[in-house]
Amino acid sequence: MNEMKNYLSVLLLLFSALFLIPVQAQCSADDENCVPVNEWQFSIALGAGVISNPLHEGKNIPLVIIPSVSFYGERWFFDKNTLGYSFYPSANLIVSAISQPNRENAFFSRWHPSNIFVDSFSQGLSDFVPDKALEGEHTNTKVTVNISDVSKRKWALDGGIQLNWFLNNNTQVEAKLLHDLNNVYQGFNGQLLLSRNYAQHQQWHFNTTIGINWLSAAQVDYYYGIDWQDNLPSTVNHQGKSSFNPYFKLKARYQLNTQWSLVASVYRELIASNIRHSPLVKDKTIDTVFIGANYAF
Amino acid sequence: MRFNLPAVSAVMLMVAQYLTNTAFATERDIEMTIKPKVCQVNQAGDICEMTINIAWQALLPLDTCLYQRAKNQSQEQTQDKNKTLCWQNTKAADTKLAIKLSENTLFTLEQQTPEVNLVLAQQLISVNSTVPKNYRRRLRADWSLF
Repeated sequence: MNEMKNYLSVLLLLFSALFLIPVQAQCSADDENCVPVNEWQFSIALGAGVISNPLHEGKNIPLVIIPSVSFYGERWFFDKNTLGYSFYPSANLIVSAISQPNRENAFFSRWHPSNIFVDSFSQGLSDFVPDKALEGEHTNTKVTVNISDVSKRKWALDGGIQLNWFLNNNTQVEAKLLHDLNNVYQGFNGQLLLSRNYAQHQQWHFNTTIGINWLSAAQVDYYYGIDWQDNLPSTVNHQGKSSFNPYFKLKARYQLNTQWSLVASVYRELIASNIRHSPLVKDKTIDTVFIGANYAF
Repeated sequence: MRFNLPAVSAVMLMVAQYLTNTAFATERDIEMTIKPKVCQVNQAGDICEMTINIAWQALLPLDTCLYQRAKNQSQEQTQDKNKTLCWQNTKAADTKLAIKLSENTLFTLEQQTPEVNLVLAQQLISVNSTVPKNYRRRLRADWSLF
């Protein structure tokens, strides 16, 4: 018992020491990871790109214009789709409460042209009945379900904690733990990433990121599971399980002048088998590519 | 036919000197002063409005223009330049100009030639803020989608 108390005391001491670091933000104008406080930042990227949709009948999301708006106050911030409040902003560690829309519903868009013109995916209910037991990839008869055949999934607004740990000016670890705020899937999701910037000759900038997305069973089941609410034969029912999707991201930027830069990015997320086993899912990856020009106002 | 040798030599010398000087005015030939050199604003990013006095003098009449370009203090990068004022066949100027600046700005006096603009003189006007601009860490990746 005493041993346990000692252990807890050490943990408490370490935790306290972490939070007693002097609150001094080491940020300067020439650091590209820093932004001026109390100023709006606008930029727009024009180019060509796509986010692949891993679902049957899912529509790839084209990328032509990517607007970006951000505002950082002393504590509050809004950056693209994220609203946050940094309640522990130290030099190397920033802990924030954040809220952002959940990505998953973006893949369930219903207005794919094939819904109107092409009949390649739509079929009668009998087509859903597999010849063999549903064993996903183990049998070569994985049943497929289109997104237009299941009940409408809702957008979720997530909220939770984000932790940014800056190892140095170019390297950071970010961790997020979020829960849906609007009672859609009633579960958690999280993210852990390691990101590193490389700058060469002040004009070339590169960034590499590796990370992992965790989706709780509740979230996987809400979006990728199939149950009685989808009005499909019970033979295609599928229950989602907790999943870890690893990913990597490469970004390059060539700064032409203070306003214009050429940008390119590649992103690949490997879909965990627990999600791939869903009859809705056809791909093993979610890919994003974009190349274009960015103008900062 | 007899030539007055000293007179011819003097005329030739003047012509040669004129041709040389009009073709290439150099920075040493120009004196330019712009006052004041500093503009004080309350907070960084505020617009500085003031009237500056520009005075310059050349040895010979020139076609010149005054350009201004914002100069990023941190990265020593300069943005595209804007033409502010021009003079035709002018040897000296002393004029006032109302300006609005939001950051350090470099003013350059450039001789206009058909081939290239020659920078004859330059001067920086600094915009200083009483309250320094604060910066903080960006918490989302730049132009990132997810």
